[in-house]
Amino acid sequence: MNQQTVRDPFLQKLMQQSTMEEPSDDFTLKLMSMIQLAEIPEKESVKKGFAMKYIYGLLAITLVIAFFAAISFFPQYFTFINTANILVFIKPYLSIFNTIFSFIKAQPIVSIVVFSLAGLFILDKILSLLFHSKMQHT
Amino acid sequence: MAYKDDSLYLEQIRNGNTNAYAMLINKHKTMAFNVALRITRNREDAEEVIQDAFLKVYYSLKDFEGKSKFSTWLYKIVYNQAISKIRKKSIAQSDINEEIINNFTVGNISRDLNYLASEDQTKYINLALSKLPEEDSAIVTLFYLNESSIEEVSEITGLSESNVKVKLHRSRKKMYEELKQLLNNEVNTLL
Repeated sequence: MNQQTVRDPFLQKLMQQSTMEEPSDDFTLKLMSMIQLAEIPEKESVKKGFAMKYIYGLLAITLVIAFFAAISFFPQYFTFINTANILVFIKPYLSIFNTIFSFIKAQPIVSIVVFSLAGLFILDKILSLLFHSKMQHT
Repeated sequence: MAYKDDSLYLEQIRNGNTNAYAMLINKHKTMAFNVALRITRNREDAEEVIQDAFLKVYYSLKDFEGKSKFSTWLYKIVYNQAISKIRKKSIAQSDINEEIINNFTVGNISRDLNYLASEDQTKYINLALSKLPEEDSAIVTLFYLNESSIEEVSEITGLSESNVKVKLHRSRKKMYEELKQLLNNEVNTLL
């Protein structure tokens, strides 16, 4: 029996004329929502991981800056630390900080502006990352 | 709506454009639904079957090597899902009528059918199709409606090519016999 023996142009024409049944109108929409919903947790965890890493990095940098700023502004509170040993290691970095902080100390308004801007920048970054993660979740 | 070649949509999906899959769904959902409907004989079940099939296809796209047509691969999954569905539901399948149909007169039937309005033709063809066993009905739909080749139908159903041909031959005869019966009833009603 070859393919030709089962070919039937009449039946084919008849079937093609008959109306095909359609799935529900929102079938594609529903299916695509299911696919997109299933993909969110994966994307979200990647985003969340990235956001947390970013926040931890910013916090670490803030702490280091705050530490040096504290030593520079209030040396009387850090007498218990053997600054001589630390200074050998961090002297090159400290000189940069000292230059910056001595300038800031000399100009109180500059320190207010610089710290305010830095604080706002960090706060903005943290809030936008947290808000973005929340939006992804909803 | 004019659709592009499946390979273009597949390429877009692989490049991260998930929405391109919606185009593939729209392109194939009607035929997939009709194949599933021929087997399940229930709209809700057919929709569930094609929904599962489209999801399965989406998550297996990375494994699709393109050796066969995308539609053949999709219909194979639809066919298998629909068959499992009816097996799970333990629907008593209609007996395959193995008897050779005598007085097989296509000419007379085609002449009588041509007198009917297209809506009636559709009604009768659907009735005749519904009298076939579920698998055979899907095979007839794929072969005559979707114009799949014997090789493609064989790949979709997992039956040998000779088995597909035998099933098509028997189904065709059975459909004509059914149509003959329906047309006789119609004439009797009119008289």
